[in-house]
Amino acid sequence: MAIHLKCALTAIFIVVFLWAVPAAAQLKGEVRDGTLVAYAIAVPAATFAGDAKNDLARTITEVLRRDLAFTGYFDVLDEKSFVEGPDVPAEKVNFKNWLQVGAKGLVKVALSGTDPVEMDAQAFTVADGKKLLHKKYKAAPAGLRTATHSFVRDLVYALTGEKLKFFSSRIAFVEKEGKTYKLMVADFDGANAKTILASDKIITLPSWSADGARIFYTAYTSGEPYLYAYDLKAQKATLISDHPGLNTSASASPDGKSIALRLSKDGNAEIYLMNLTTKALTRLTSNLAIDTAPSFSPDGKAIAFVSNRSGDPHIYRLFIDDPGRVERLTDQGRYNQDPDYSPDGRHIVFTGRDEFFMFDLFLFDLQSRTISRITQKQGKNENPRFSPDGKLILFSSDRTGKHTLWVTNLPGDRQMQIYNGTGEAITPAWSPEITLTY
Amino acid sequence: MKKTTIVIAIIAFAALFITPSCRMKPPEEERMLAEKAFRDALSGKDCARENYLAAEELLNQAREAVNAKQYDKAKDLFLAAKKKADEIAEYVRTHPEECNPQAQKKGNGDEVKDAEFTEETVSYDPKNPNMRFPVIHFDFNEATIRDEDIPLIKIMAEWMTNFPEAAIRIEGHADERGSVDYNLSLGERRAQAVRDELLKNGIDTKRLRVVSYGEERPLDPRSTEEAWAKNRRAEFTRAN
Repeated sequence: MAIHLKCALTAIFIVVFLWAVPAAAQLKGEVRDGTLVAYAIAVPAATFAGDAKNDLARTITEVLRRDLAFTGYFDVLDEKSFVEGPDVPAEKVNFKNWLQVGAKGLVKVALSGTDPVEMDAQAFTVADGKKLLHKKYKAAPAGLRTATHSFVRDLVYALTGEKLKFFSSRIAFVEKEGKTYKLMVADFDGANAKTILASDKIITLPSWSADGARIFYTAYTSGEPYLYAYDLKAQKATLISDHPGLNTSASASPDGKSIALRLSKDGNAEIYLMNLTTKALTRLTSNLAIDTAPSFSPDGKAIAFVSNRSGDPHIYRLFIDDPGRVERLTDQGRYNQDPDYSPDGRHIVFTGRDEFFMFDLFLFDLQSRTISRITQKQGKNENPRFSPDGKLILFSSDRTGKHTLWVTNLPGDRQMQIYNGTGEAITPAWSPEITLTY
Repeated sequence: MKKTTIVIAIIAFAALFITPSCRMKPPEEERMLAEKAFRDALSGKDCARENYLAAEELLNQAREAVNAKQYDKAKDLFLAAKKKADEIAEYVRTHPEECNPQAQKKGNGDEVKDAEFTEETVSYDPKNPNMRFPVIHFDFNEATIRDEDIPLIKIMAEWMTNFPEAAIRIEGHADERGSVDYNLSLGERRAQAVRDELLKNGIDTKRLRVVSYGEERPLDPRSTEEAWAKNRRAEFTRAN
């Protein structure tokens, strides 16, 4: 099935950078009673040729509000409180109307034209009516979603100077439907989900190559769990590793030259480093226990992994240039698995079973050596993966009665469901930043 | 500078969620003992039905008490559940004819089906080329073969000796708890443990292949102790 990094549509994308005030108005959060009060932003419905009830305009409004919520910086105000209608054009806005509803910022989006559609997006600070950002886009209707993502990314940049990478990233995961396994790819927000591969044989544990062009995964196509790489552009799978036993859990090295993976060819699950060009292997662990689930540190020097060498599975760390040195990280709990290194190298997120035998996400801080809890007993929460900027964590949860995909911020107080398909969505993986055009 | 304020606030917020691990702990030992005893009492499900239901109820109450952080109460309930389960096991041991459904096997179709579902009730004939292969079960997070399953592997070894041309795949499985990744290794270790036991019984390693399916192929899709116990297993299939 067709999947392109570039949108299939031959849309022209023109950005007219009219007005931007980088970091001119800092994004202001206040702490009241120990709780962060986010920047209140009003997003009146987008209009299509002045009509706010138009389907495309509605979709864009939804994407816009959701994107702002995703960043964690904004409190998107409920439109029920608005006193000014969405049909008031940007140049006629009465900022007092927005001050009155408690908004600090205001976003106005107007659409016009058919294919390509023109999107005029503006953001203001309400107090002084100053324009923060003004962008114009031309894209095919299907490309407007991505255009909206980049507007919100640029708005956050204008307010904070921070470049959020997740707005230009994708996710891969496995969806199980009856006896069918599907390897899926979707936008970071779960939209545009497409089936890459489907099989009645097991497909499991996808992960991304360092450049985001390929997806590593294990499939039992031959009857044995071999590791493959699916090239998204060429739409072709190649065999990467077919040693006897398990060939799974690839984690790409940051330089893209090699992968860490779990092989059991020597009779016991160990972590190996494989040069992707020569396929030469270096064994990184040597222990009679299970060693698995490698995750490269962003500097490529360390690998977090799971081992049950102490009896129960715990999170450990090994150092590539210092063979034999292994550091145990978790000593709380009795069932810690699925580590993922944060892109800044500061944290490791993992799945842990708590004292009530619930599976939840936890964050290990490598500086303070402390553990904080992200999810709180809402079903089984598993397989956490950092967004490419480390702002968000993607995971699978069965809290709604079946496995769906969720995104949370690091404290865990903002959790959003992003994918609820027909089957069970499991083992998600977040891509690195990819250049998306539309 | 203001950005720093946000960061501090986020960290402060995160700190609220750090679970204090130094609080009074739930009675994990008692829970494990009770669950193990309950598993061992499974074959008394029908012949000691009243006690079985009572043990199940006590176990559920104990879990609820854990969730309500009433650890003392939970401990007592787990111990009571264990005692009840031990009574069932004792009853099963002393009433083999009543608790062994093989005796009832020749009833209607439904009963036969029931009997097939309980592994222990199947009789194995290693001289039969079409013998139904036994299934080996494991404890949570364990890949050690239980003492009671050693005879099943001996039967399998006997069958393989009788049919020397047969090659066997040993498929290792895990229950749904824990990560997909880790469970693949757990399933593999279970299959390997069974293979090693067959090797001890003189079977040539060339005739044995090990494959792990992790948690992908549960026999019982439910999320209950009983289902999990069924799903933690190693199965034999013909490879030729």
